[in-house]
Amino acid sequence: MSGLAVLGGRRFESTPVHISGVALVLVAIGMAVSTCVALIDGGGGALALAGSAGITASVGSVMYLSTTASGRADSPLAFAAVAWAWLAVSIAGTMPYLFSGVIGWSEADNALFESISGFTCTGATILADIDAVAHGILFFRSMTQWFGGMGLIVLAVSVLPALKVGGLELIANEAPGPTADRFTPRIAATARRLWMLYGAFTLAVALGLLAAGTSLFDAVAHAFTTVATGGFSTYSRSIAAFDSVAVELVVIVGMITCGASFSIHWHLITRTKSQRRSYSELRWYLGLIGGAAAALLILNSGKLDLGDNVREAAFYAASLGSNTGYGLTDYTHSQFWTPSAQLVLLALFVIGGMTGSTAGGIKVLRLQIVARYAVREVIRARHRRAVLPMRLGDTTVAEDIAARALGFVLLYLGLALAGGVLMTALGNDLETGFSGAVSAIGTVGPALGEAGPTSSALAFERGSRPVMMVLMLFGRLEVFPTMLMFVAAVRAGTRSRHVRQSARPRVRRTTRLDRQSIRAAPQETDRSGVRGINSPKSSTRSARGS
Amino acid sequence: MTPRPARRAREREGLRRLVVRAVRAADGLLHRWARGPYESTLAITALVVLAAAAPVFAACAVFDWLFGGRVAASGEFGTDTVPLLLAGVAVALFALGLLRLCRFERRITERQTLTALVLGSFAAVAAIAIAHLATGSVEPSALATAFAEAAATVTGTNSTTIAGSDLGGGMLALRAMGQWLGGAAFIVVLVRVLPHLGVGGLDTDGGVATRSARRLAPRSAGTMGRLLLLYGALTVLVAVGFALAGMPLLQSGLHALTTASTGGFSTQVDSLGAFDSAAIEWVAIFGMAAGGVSLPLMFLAIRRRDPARFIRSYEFRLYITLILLATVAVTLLPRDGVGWTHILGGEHIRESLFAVVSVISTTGFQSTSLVELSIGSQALLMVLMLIGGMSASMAGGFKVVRLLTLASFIGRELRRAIYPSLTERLRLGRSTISESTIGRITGELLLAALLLIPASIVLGASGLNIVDALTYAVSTLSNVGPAMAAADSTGHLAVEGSTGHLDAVNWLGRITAGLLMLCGRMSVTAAAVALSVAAYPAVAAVRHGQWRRRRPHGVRVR
Repeated sequence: MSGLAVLGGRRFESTPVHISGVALVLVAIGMAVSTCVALIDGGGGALALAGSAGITASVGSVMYLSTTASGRADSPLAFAAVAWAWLAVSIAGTMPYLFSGVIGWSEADNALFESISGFTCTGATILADIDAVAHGILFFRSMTQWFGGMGLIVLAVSVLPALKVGGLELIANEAPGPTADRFTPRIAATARRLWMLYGAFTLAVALGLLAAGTSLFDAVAHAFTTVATGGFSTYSRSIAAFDSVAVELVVIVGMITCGASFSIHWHLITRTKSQRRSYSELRWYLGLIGGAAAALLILNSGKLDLGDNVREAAFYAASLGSNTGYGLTDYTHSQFWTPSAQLVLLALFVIGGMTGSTAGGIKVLRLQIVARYAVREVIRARHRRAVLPMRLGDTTVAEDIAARALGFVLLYLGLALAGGVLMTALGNDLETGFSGAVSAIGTVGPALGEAGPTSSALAFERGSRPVMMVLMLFGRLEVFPTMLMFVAAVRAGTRSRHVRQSARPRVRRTTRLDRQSIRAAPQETDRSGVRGINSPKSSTRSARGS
Repeated sequence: MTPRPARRAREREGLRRLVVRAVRAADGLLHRWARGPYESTLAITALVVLAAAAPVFAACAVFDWLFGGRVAASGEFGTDTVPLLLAGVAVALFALGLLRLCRFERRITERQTLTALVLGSFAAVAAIAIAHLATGSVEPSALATAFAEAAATVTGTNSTTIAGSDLGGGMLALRAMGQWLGGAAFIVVLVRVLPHLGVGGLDTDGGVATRSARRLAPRSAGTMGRLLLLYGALTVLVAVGFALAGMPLLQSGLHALTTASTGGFSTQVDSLGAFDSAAIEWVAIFGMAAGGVSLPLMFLAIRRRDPARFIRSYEFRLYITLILLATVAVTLLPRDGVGWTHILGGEHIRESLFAVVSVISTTGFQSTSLVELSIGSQALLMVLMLIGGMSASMAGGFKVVRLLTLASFIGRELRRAIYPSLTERLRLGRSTISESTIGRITGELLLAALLLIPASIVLGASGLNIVDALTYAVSTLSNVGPAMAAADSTGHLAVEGSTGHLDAVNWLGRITAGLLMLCGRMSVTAAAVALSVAAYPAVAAVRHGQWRRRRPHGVRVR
């Protein structure tokens, strides 16, 4: 309220600040819960967490109360709101680490790395000795991933129906969250159901872990990061610390489940009719994980005995196929794992889970689109006039959606390559640098080379870690919002003028081809706009690429 | 594009006409000879390629007899003469004999053109492999090695298991000639075959948009003659340059053949670094860079005496910019044991420029080993390998113009994310890029990416490290050759310089490398189309047979 007093009671219209405020308040609640854990545990860190909660809550509420969301909701605004909100919570998330002294003030960049890695569900850590960290802080650390998994803004929309900021645009842009597939007519209800489902899964995994013999703290902390496909563990040795097949099984099932689309889960649970193409994506997703596990089994057969081989192949195919990043043994050790098996893992880093899941990567659906696209070009090289709709399962993907998915994949690969070059130029070796960049943008966590699952992100040169932070944000928000956050923020203010300009087709010289495309284009975009987002009935026919 | 009458008169004369005439005469002879009972254009293509190898073998045999000792490290004359002659005679008899049994088909479908391309390249690979086996430079049992060596020769990739010092003069000449002829054949493919497929040929993708890959004459034979002539002239120019820079005459001839074709084979173990001469390296830098420039662009700029044509080309500008930026980066990135005074010295800059040009033009010559460069620059060079030279040049790789197109495509998608109903045509300069062109280019990149993943896994399984496998897959697909190496278990690669990768893999890896080279040279889409043509019966069986899954009624759209 002090903010309001300072500003003389006047409220500014700024959706990004408004949304960031809500997100900060939610994080503060998480910090408060962690404070309770710290108090019960008695291992310290409570004061730091309480202090962070206080600061975050007050800053957040000032931001929330001193602004209003603008009445209109469009893409630029949604981009800006999502990207800035994520940046804000990432910065807020550094406080517990810094105040509790887990990470020194001289290494504030490391704290930011840990926080971004948490909220983006990456799971790369710079804590060298996790076992020594207070449980309250570790709980908060796992909780950041839990928040990041389903998305803070989805949560905000679900708990604050009054937040009239065009929830669907926001949710669609807070990437791995559900993409424009609503289960109910009201978006707030959809968001609420998603979080209910998410909470239920968390509970199930926690109960499963308890049944498998872990402590309550470990069960909850690991359930948070399993369901979020994040990968933070409360032990330096990650899942290997339990040394229990039962725990591994629970975690494997949890990871595979949450790497699959939440809307499919919803439809399966409520037995409502789902989109058919989702099932085709599900088949691909399970096929990829199964195929990767089989490939790992074959490629490592000479190096590991059968029991270990099956265990590691299944675990890593699930862990990296869903881009979670839990570790079991050190796969970077050439004594145990062959180079080609590690290359299989690298391919999994890139692909990731399904759309509408909590996983990272380019997503299986886009891989499908890419594969279909490539195949179609091969056919088109032979039959140049063939009209070939792009089919996935039993549905057809509209051209502009395919184009957006392609643009995304190309941008993603380009960013990963550029990130890799930067990482190596800043002092990492080729293997560590490139795999680190791929791992960061895929929000996986462990990489290859020196930065394997049993090592930490300290293996990356300090100067190169900011590159990873940027890549993690790019990866979690699916590139476009982060890429356009500045552009969008600037343009959001002058939106109407730009829209009027862009509505006019930018064609200077009209050739025959041009004329055809002008006739064709508006029709195409209109249709997809209707189908992709607003009409649940026709969305069975078109897959939304991003 | 119609030349003015005065020009046309001038064009009628000269070498080009001679080339065209020779081609026509050979064509006539072939038609008269091939009048057998079996009607198969495909067989004829493969056999003609084999038959054409015979005179090359003979020429190399003669070369070995006359000059072999002056080129080979052993200093012996005539070591390869008899095997090469025998191989030549055997191949010629085999090919001509079978040709007599074949007959041309009346009509050739597009599908057959493509299969002919694949069969022809495999025939060329077979011919070179036979030479390797006959002269004993490859163990008779190591068929995979012979295949990989031959593929490297035909596609112009500097990747080999045999040190130049172990070869006789005849084989050295054959490898250089093979790379040059492979380049010449590529020009034919570029003009004749690829445009029919709509992938990577003249006038198909980058061509219309950038004016750097377009036809020079209404008839394809005319375009072909002009380009071949330019290619030959470039080779002679580079040879003269090498000779003036102080390279022995025969060596400069052989190196010019592999420079202009951006092949990269050298007679020396240490590649061009063996000569240790700044002048030679400068000539090579020029030659390689020219090999990466679009031939039609170069031809028009020379013929019209209009150097500004280069500057007007978007693709050329980006090509040169890439070279300059990468050179600056490679020069400035810190290296172990190299101080600032040394960095700013001319030698260091030349070394960086050499490495950059060698990689982006996909030649693969080395003045120093790539592994000696800083790690950041190795990563950068790997990206340059992926990019490759200009379209319609002798270089391999993805091609600069496609990169340019994709960049503007991504830009449009970003704008469309903000303005969902944006309608915008992509353009390079004054010309627009059609949507189908973008589709082809994207398809090519995606196919290459989808190919690289399994290929590097196979290479990793056949004896390479992760870094080695990935970079070697990229390097062979782009027809470069040298790759980076990690320092641990395959450390010998780092010491050997980076041409030893092919040596380090087993037979499976060698076959994979050979196939990657061929895919890269033909363009991945063409290779995939070839595969789909070959797999056509199986696909048709699935599609029309009982395995087909029925689609539920009423779901199909359009």
